[in-house]
Amino acid sequence: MNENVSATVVVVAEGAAPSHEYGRLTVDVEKCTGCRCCELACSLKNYGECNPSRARIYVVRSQVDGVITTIPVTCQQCEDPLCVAMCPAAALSRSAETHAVVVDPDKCLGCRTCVEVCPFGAPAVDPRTGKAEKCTLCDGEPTCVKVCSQQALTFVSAEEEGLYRKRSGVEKYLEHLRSVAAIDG
Amino acid sequence: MTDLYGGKILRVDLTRGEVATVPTERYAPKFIGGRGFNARLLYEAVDASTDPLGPENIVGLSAGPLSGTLYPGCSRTDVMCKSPVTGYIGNASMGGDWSAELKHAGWDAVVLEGKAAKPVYVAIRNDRVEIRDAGELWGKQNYVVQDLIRSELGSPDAKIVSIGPAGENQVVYSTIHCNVGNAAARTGTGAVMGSKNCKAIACAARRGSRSPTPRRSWRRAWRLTRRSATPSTTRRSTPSA
Repeated sequence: MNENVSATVVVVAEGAAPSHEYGRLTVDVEKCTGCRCCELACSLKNYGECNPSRARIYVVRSQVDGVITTIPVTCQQCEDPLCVAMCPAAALSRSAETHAVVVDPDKCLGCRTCVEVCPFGAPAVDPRTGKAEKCTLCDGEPTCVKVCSQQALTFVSAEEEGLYRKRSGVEKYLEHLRSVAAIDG
Repeated sequence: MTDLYGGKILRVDLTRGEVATVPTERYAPKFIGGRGFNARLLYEAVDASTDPLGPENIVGLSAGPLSGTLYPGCSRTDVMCKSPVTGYIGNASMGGDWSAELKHAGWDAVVLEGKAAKPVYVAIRNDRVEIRDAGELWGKQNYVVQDLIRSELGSPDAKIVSIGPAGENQVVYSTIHCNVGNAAARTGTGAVMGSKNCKAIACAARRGSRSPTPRRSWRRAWRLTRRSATPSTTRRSTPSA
């Protein structure tokens, strides 16, 4: 590291962040080992107990003929959420800070409409509180991302979403091009 | 520490087809889960004259106090019985997610006693315990059996420990398997389970631990989880929450 080099951050524009500058919880299915730490950490963060049934993320696990595959499933924070549209009590709304769909427990009836309309089954009515509970992105710092030891869960800005996948998708092609360039000198 | 236990030990009498519950408190202050419970349970059940492959022997499968918590590397199942190989104490432990599932169902240990008249398997769904017929499953290998039990119970998430044809035929070095590739491989535990005509123990639960976990404790668990699996160059700072 050259210690003489210094960097200066120049802020060229200030003001309210545009609406697309929020984080997205993304899942890299290939990296998930199925340890389910995200489930336990989610329930610990929100309820103070190791209880996967109260977690707002769920690792779907499939074992067929000795081959195990796991996919973490949580709220996708849809742009046009069915749960918000269908809630009869208007208890679900979009958070301005995190862009997450959040439940107002004072308005929620526990009617399970959101559970039924969600294509991912992300909301659940907690048997103890009787209210719909769903991922709130932990106020912009998702706990599940912090404990994911394999970085299968990442929290990236909406603009960066998919960049990793784009890069890894063409990695083999890039490698080939590099080797060709090396031969050609 | 008793907060970390599920609170109940399940005793399955295969001869009579009955199950009984023992409170964990009977063992918890003096013995630490997993191997500790198993050692005491075995000590109470067998003596020098017990035939390892006879109905008097027991198989204890126990979860430790940290199984099913965020602490990394703690989801191990300890299996203990009188060994048909040595005639002494036989102890093996396996990885996999069965012990966490057992803890989430509210149990700390399962003890298999006696011998079933025909092949059976034990299905645990929270407090509901069934001894089910395993006639169709007998003779099949582990992975096939696990798939069949999951579809029979209608529970794709069920965690299963099972024995294969070697255990059924009481090959003295046979294993008990948990899911895929996790085996309690030492001291012939599979043969003892096979001698009891017990093919598998399935467990499906999402109940979770009984009591709130202290915040200080789970921050330590977080730190360990990240350190255990992350290369040092990409290690992130400890979460502040």
